[in-house]
Order: sequence, then structure tokens, then C-alpha cells
Amino acid sequence: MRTRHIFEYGVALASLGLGGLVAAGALRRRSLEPAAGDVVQGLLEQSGVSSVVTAVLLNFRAYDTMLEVVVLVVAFWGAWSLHPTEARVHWRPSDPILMRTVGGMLPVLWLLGIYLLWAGTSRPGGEFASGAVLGACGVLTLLIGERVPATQFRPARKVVVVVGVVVFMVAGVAGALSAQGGSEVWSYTAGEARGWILAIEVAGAATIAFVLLGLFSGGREGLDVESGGGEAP
Amino acid sequence: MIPSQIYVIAGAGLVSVGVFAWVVRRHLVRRMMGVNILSTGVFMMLIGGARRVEGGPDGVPQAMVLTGIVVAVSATALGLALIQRIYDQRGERSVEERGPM
Amino acid sequence: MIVFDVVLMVTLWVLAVGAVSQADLFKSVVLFVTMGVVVAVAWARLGAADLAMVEVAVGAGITGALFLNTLGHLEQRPGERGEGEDTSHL
Repeated sequence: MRTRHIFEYGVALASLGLGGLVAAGALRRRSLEPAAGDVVQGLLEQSGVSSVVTAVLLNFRAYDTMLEVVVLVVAFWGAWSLHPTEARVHWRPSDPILMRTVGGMLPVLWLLGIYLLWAGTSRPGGEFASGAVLGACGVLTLLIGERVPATQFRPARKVVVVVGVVVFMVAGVAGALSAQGGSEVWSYTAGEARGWILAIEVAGAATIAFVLLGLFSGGREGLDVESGGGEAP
Repeated sequence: MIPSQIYVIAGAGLVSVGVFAWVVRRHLVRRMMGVNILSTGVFMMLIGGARRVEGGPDGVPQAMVLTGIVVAVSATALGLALIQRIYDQRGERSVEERGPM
Repeated sequence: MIVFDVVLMVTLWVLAVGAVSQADLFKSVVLFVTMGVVVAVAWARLGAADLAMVEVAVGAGITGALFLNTLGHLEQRPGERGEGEDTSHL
């Protein structure tokens, strides 16, 4: 055990040193002009939305964002294929007051998720915030022993997982076909950008929410939260 | 020192804690937690070190970190599913534990 | 308000160290989730509202649920999934 302790102290010192080095490097002032943020601010008119973060995510760096949704879907497939045929939620509150309270709050949370989607073009919010809130809603719904309605139909589940990626690609190709001059993907013009971004946001939020929920439940519809644990009176 | 630089230091501290947990701890869940703390630290350094524009940090690092958070949670979920699988197959929860097999 | 930032930083560190050094895994998951909420406060303090919202939903909500679910799974004997759940201490 003595060598173990020496090892732990050694690693503690080394990781503190690493943190110190990283901090020293990050606190150093460098001149990275022109900064990307200025370029974005300058081009914000053409992006179709007025929120900088949404403009970067869904217009200027749309390729990255699409691949990131692909990463989510791949992770979901991985977790899905690993789970036993009947995945179970192993933790569930048995307090009836807690369950009723959560159940009463859920509609508000659903509404909040949808509002964030709508707000995303001009204010903080958007695809990721909305998808995350909706996914968390789904997890809460499963935890209080209810089923999430949209996940009950097998074909619907398969569609919803890929719809975010497909809409993203369609938007990119359409942008390339309609662009004057260049033929770059996702180069929509200012006029049509807003519509495409809205479509991507809706589809993307659905996919993100569903994938997050599926990562929690293992993607199974027969998620049996009723067995085991204390049955709520 | 401007306040955002404090968060660079806080992020560096989280990086240290995360690396320590990732290397030293043997329980797989704890290692996963260490990786999560590490990624949180990196995100915090990115945002804390971002250039300030009016009303908040630069939009570009924010968008990067936003995608990063979502990718981190999906990676965590896949890792935890793998941990559950390892436990089902071999009865092991940590790196050196030997289960009934 | 530099005091608030420093207090936030120290809180983050204490929670992170607690999460990785706590002997009881359940307690360390709780500390980890708490850290997620404090990180969301830090994003709000830095002016990154998008990040704060995503962090509350993902870092504190979904990640915590995933960890707790895995802990519940690891409590059972292997090969006996779904049977004989011991959720009394969770």
C-alpha cells in the first residue's frame, strides 16, 4: 500500500503541475486578430438570425454542427446495441409527493423546451438548449413511471433519430444548389437562410432530445420502471 | 485581474482534479467522472479565456463549448453503457477487480 | 464582485475534489451533480446564457440520471439484470 500512496501523491503533484502549466498558457496574452467573433458580428446580417451563437452553429459552422449530431446518433446506436433486451431504470423515487410534484411540473418543462426552440433565432436558446431540456423532460417522465408517447411507435423512433441529420444534409445541398457563384454547401443566401435554419432547429432538437432520452433508457420501448423498488401507493 | 481570468484558473484546477481522478481511481464510474470533470475544466478555460464582446464572451467559443457539452454527455452515456456491459459479462467494476469468471 | 467569483471557484474545486475522493459512490455522484449546477452559475456569471441552460439540463440533469442508473445496475449481481434490485439505499 505504501507504493500506492507514493504513486497517488506523485500523480497529484503531476496533475497540479499540468493544471498550472495549462493555466499559465491560457492566461498569457496573445494577439489573434482579427478574432473570429468580429467576423461573425460583421456577417450577422447575412446569416438570417440575430443570435450570434445560433448563427455560428447553424450557418457559419453548420458542417461541424451536423457532424456533431452524427456523433450523438452514433453514440446512441452504440448504447442501444449494448443494452440487454429489457433495459430497466434502476433508480426511481418512491415518494408519492415527489412524483406528483414532478408530474405537475412536467408540462411546464415541455413548454419551456418548445419556447427555447422558438427563441433560439434571436435570444439565448435554440437547438441544443431545447433538445437538452426536452430530453431531460423525457427522462423525468420515465422516472415517474410514465411512458413518453412519441417513443412508443417503432418506425417513428427510427425516423426521429435520423431526421436531424437528414434535414441538415438537405439544407446543405439546397444551399449549395441555390447559391449564386460558389457551390459550397450550407451557403444559403440571407433571404432563405432563416427558413432553413428553423427547419434544422426543429429537426435537430427532436433528434437531440430523443437521443438523450434513448441514451438514458437504452432505446427500448418496453422500459419497465414498474418492477422492483417500492411500489408507490 | 479581470473576473473572467478567475475562471481560467478555476478551469485549470478542474483539469488537475479530473486528470488525477482519471489516472489514480480504479472504479470505472469514478474514472468516467474524472473525464467529465476534466472536460468541464477545459470548457471553462475556453469560455473564461475568450475575448469579451459587449454583453458576454465571444460567440464562437460559446458555440464550440455548446457542441462540446452535448458530445461529452453522449460519450459519457456510451462509456457508462460499456461499463454496465463489462459488469454483466465479467463481474468487474474497477480496473483490478476480478469477478467470478 | 470579485469575491463572488473567488468563492465560486473555491466551491467548484471543493465539489470536484469531494466527488473524486468520496468513498461512497452515491455521495460522489451527488457532489458531481451539484458541481454541474455550480458550473451553470459560472456560465451565467460569464454571460454565456446558452451554456448555462444547456449545462443545467445536461450536466446536472441527464448526466446525473445516467450515473445513478449505472450505479443501480452495478449493485446487482452480474447475469441477473433486472432481478433483485436493491434500491433501498438509493
